[in-house]
Amino acid sequence: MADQERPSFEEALKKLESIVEELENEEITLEDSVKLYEEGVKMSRFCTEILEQAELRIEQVNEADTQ
Amino acid sequence: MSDNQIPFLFDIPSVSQLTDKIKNVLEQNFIDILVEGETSNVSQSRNGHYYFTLKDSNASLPCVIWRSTAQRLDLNLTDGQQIVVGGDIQVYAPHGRYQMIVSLVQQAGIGKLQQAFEKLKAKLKAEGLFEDHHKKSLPKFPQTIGVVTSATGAAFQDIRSTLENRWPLANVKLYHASVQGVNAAPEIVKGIEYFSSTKNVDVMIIGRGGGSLEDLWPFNEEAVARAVFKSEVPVISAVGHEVDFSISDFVADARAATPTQAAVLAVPDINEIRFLVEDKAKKLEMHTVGAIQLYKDRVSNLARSHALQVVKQKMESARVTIQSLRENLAHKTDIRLRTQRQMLTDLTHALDKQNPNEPLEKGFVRVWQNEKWIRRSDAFSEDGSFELQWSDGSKKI
Repeated sequence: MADQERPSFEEALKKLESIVEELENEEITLEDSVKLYEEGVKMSRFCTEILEQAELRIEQVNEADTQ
Repeated sequence: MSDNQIPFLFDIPSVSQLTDKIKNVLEQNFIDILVEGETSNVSQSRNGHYYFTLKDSNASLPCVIWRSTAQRLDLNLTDGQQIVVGGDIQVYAPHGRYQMIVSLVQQAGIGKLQQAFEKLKAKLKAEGLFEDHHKKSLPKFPQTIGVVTSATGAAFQDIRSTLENRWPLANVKLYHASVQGVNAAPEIVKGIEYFSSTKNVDVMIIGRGGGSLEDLWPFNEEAVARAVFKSEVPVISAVGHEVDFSISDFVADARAATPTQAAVLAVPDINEIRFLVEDKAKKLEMHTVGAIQLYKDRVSNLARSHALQVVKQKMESARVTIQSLRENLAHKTDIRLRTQRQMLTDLTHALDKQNPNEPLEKGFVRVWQNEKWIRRSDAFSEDGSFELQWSDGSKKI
């Protein structure tokens, strides 16, 4: 996955939630459920990776004329 | 001419002379005075001088702050500020006008501030600025958080450490602004406008730690309230301690009791989200395993179904038929083989009975001449040799 295609954390979490919701539907075909499962595992790993690697970044946007 | 008409009681002065007298009276009696009021019509001339009117409900006083003074005070003024100014009254004769030359600017005293607070609160409330339908909802997972406060204040340290613990995914953009004194409100306004116009943050926190009413005053300035109201980015206001309410709290999209509380309001708790992701991953596993089991069950149910059973029975009966046919075939072949063999034996037997050597066995003799069996007397040649055959041998004669 190229860097600019990486979803945001929120997008990944939403995707994971909607996959689980779809899986809860019993009408789903086996092939689809396996596909969804693979995608869901990807999203849950991605979310965990972001959560575990996060480090607060701080930047001052104007000049500090604090004197 | 005037000398003739007017008695010698007093001289009538010219406008200049009168103005000059007024100037002396005013300028000698109103040196180094303090006066308190609200700023309005603040403007800065091309040359960098500040002009504004200091007013209260019944009177107004034109004021000037020369550029050098403004620079020395590092001044930043806006309309609606409650201030105390110090300086001298000066009369500018050409305009017939008196004004205050300001050399000192301070925030107004507490009594004045309390009055101004109530007045501004009532005014903004009447305008509807505090109403809920204006309030924007806060983003659930902000990626970037703007903070307008002092870079060196305790509030920023509190916000920073809370964000580090709760939601280290965030990027924090700090717009440094003074948070007390006369300059604070205009700087805070600039910070709010900066984030609102660049929209480079998902939510912003404005605020400061605890202090006296005077210390917290910038967050009660009308300019700050209006900037918060106009902001296109949701604003969380966190000023002072739990008990302190400021005008910005009322206008903001969310009010936090303290800067720490503001950080808590702004972001989710990473631990909760960890559990949420774990929970979803478990459900993912469970539902997929469940789906597979469901299909397995369906397959085995179908396998037991009547239609397949019928097919199975048909196949079984066909198998039985084939087996019995095969056995039948073997049996019949066997019988046939045996019959043939019997026939062969019978024939051999019959053949044996037709054996031409049988008379020899019984002692008869066969006569051979010229390799031929002589069966009749007229076939015998008397002048040739012949051969007699017995069952146990033959003799040439």
